Amino acid sequence: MNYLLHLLVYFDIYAILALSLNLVVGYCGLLTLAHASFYAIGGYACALLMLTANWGFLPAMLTGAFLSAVASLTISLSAWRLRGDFFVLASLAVQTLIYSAIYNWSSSKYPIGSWENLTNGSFGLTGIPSPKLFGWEINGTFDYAVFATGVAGLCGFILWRLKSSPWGRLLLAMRDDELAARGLGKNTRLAKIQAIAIASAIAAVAGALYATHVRYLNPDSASLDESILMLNMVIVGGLGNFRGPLVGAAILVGLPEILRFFDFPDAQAANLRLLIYGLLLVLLMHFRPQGIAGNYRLE
Amino acid sequence: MPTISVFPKSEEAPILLHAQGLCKAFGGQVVLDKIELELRQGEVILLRGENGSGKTTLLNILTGNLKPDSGEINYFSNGSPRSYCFPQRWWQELNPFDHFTPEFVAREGIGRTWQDVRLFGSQSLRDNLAIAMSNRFGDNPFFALFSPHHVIEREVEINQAANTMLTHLGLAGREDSSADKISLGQSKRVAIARAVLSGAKILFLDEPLSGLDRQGINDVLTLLQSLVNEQHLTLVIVEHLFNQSHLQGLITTDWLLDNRDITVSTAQTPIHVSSTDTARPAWFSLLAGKNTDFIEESLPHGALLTRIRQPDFFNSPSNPVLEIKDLVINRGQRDIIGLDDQGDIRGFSLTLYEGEIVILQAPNGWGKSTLIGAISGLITPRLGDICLFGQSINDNPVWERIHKGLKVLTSNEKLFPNLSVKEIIEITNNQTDISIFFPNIANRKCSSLSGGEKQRLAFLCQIAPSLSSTLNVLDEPFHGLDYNAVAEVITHLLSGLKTKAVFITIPFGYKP
Amino acid sequence: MQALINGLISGSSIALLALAFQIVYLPTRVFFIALGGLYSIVPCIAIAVKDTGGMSFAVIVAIVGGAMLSAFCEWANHGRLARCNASDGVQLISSLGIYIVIVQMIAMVWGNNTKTLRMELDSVTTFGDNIVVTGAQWVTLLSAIVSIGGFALFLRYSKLGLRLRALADNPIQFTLFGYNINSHRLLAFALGGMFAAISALVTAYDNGFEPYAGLHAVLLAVVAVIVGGQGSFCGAVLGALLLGLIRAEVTWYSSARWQDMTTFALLALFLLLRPQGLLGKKTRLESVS
Repeated sequence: MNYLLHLLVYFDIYAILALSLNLVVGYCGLLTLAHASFYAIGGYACALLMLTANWGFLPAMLTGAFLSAVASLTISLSAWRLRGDFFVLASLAVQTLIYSAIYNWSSSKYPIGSWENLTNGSFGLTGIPSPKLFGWEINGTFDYAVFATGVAGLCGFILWRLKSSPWGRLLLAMRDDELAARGLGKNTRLAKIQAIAIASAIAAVAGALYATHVRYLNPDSASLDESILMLNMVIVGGLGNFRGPLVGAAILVGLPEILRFFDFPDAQAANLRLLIYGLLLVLLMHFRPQGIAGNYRLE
Repeated sequence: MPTISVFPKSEEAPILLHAQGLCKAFGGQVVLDKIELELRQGEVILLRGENGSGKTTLLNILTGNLKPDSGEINYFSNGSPRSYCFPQRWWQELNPFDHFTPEFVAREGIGRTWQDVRLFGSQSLRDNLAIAMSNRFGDNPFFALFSPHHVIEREVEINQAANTMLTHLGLAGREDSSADKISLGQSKRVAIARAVLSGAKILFLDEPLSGLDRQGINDVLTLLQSLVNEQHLTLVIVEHLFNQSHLQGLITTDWLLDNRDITVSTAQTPIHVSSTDTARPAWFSLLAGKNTDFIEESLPHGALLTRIRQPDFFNSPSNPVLEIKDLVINRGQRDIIGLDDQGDIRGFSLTLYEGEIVILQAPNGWGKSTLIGAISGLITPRLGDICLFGQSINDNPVWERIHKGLKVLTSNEKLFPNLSVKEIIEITNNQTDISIFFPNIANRKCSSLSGGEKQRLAFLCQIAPSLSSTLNVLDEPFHGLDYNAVAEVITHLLSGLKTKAVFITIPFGYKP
Repeated sequence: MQALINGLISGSSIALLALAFQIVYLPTRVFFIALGGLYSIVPCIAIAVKDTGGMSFAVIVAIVGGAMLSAFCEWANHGRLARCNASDGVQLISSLGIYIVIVQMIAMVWGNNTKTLRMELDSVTTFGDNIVVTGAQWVTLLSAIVSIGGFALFLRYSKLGLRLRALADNPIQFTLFGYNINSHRLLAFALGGMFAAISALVTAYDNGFEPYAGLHAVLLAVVAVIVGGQGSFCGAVLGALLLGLIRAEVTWYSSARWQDMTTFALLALFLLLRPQGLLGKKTRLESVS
């Protein structure tokens, strides 16, 4: 039972990530590999504020979301000049940069959270407190599962609300034909900045959930593998609608659990999992480029 | 279509747009040179000019899609005047609030439509129109999230306006159908309506009538008429020669773009172009020689086929060189080749016999280049067969078709921008050396050639006499050439050693 | 001065990879991320062969292997997708997928740790008072000069080189002249794989290698391409040399930590002020960016 609840929490976290990434990839048509960076920024900001400044969960999480949205300007500004392949590259550059910042911003001489040793480098942050929300101490796995599902539902609602608003319509129009949308006086650059900022802020919420659930955070959450996993979810599940990313998150969260039934040595299992992700990408591009439940093909 | 312009004389109407000194060059090739123009409210302008004279370039500049090299543009259409001077300093390019970009120009009350329509294909017709109207709250994600009340209020208005407009366009009941599932004529009208709803005071229309059948043309004209009479919009219409006569009565002013400059005059009676008048421009005789017959067939959507049978080579219609049977080609959701005048799918069929020169004259938007693409294998048709010298070539990729004796000249004038003329001649692998025709430019890069030089080069590379039998397919081959050059290339064309047949497409009424 | 020389030499190994990227990208428009996988796997092949066949044989096998693997990617994946008119994004994602598969296979077979091709200590040449060039650097410099120079001559003077340039300029016109696009694409991929292999080998010889280094190397190469100008082979080399110089200067005067930061700052600078790159020309824009 506990095992299933854990899975549910992971599913919640990745569902939030996949849904928010879909806003960028499926609705703006911008393929980004930097999503894990914003997820990690959210996680680190929340964890550090809770650890060192004793902030409550809610303000810490919101601050993380805000920082993440600000950091997302790096990729939305490159979307001004770059499109297609070269935008992917720029997002990859941002990802590398943030990852190396998190990895290197450490010095063993100083306490964690000080300016010289902000992230504690590859050792990561340990002992992150569990969240407390309006007097509700979220401690056991069951509580956390309820909490995470609630947050995921809220994020999903926000995204759904946005997608069915005139702003969501603007995003779709921009994806279909950006020049035509601009010809109607629509500020598509602003819309892209907004969409990417919102998606990043929501990814940061997922990061905060992860940090407080596992109570340990290391630079791996900002790694490229993590970004690729998220991208995999939206691509496998399908772009441009609401159920696609959910399907993708369910499949890719479930996959490693299925692999567990086969006895692979631990070191190999991680590699094998990633290998399967890669293979999935290649095969999908050949046989179902719009994903399992999607309705938009990448350009 | 007789109409009386209800608006006061153009001299009294306020100026909406003024531009002066506009220059634009592409890679050393000057397209526009110090153009000055002025647009007053209620004017309906026909922007005329040969293909390649820069009509679309001018349109792109005035709508903010392209920056001129130098000059000044002033917009007065939206209350407060706004002016842009070129060339811009580099720091102006970094200023996010004063860009000369389509969205900022659009807010000055400039709307435009595209030759290829560009509706938002994945959205419904209602949404296509709704998106044009601004929802001050709804376009902001913050309000969309936290203040749905304001958003929905405006949204109801917008949807109502969109529905009304669709009813006005005769599309009531199809509000929810996807934009890529309506006919071309309907989509052109939706595109115009979309631009109007976005608040345009001046509407730039790029070939609004091209590719339409009679009914479609009438519908678009009715719409334009009502926009001028009821909403007093100012229109600038780029339209191809073939369709200009339809606009008679609507046009108040005539802009003629010629030789990089613009000539403004009051509306002239457009030269009435119809199939019969232009069927046989004088230069056809260059192709025909002296005593040959012209055989004419008319094709759907206003195209005309002229067969010239060369007495020395043509025996009887028994040796087919190219056979096209029941061809249907689609672009996206819409079939473009293979429809009859009623819009039913009939399939396009055409046979070329040995010794024939066949000229297809068709208006822009008819699908000439698409047809050539299907013959050469660049485009896969939806249905139908293509046979070359009696063999089906459906499954052959492009290069195998070429090896079987097809020679194709496309209308794309790019050639190989980074290769020199000598290298291009080398890469064509012709059996005869054509470099003698380019004595002085052998070492120049292709991108530095003028349009005419490039076209002559492309032409000669393609039709160089060859020892194996060939079918020459030429898409708008005389584009950019003057009369002498046309005469020259035609001489070369006719002297081809083993040319079995020639298929030429040209825009309607083309004159070198 | 030392920094200048180091920069030129590391720049030349970036240049090899940037060239490899351009050789694939210009004619086929495939954003070949899997090049990073090739870059990682080639030294592994070399090290596996070296024990039995000796160093020079291993190098030849590795280079041929790289070229063949690259051509295989085209034959099995990119070519097929291109024939179904797949979009750029689809090509890119499938290429990313191939990269992941290759890297994970390397990690499973050869392990994650850093290895080096060079067993012995490096020889050192000293110029003047304090300018030092190591043997591995000589190897890098010489192989870069030979292969880049050879490729330039090949492009300029051979028929095949001319065809590759023509394909890069206008694939449609190229095939209308009767050339088989598929086989020329295959050739472009094989050449690209070869250059990536050379670049990987010299770097592995100089600094060692590990499975995950490939993507970072490709990232640098593509930054070099953007800096130099997206449209030309020459620009890629120039951009790579400039990037190598700047990175070396940063390492010399500050710390290696700031290398990536400066690289991406340079990228941002170019994107903002000169998006067409050093050698690029502004082209006729159908749609404004």
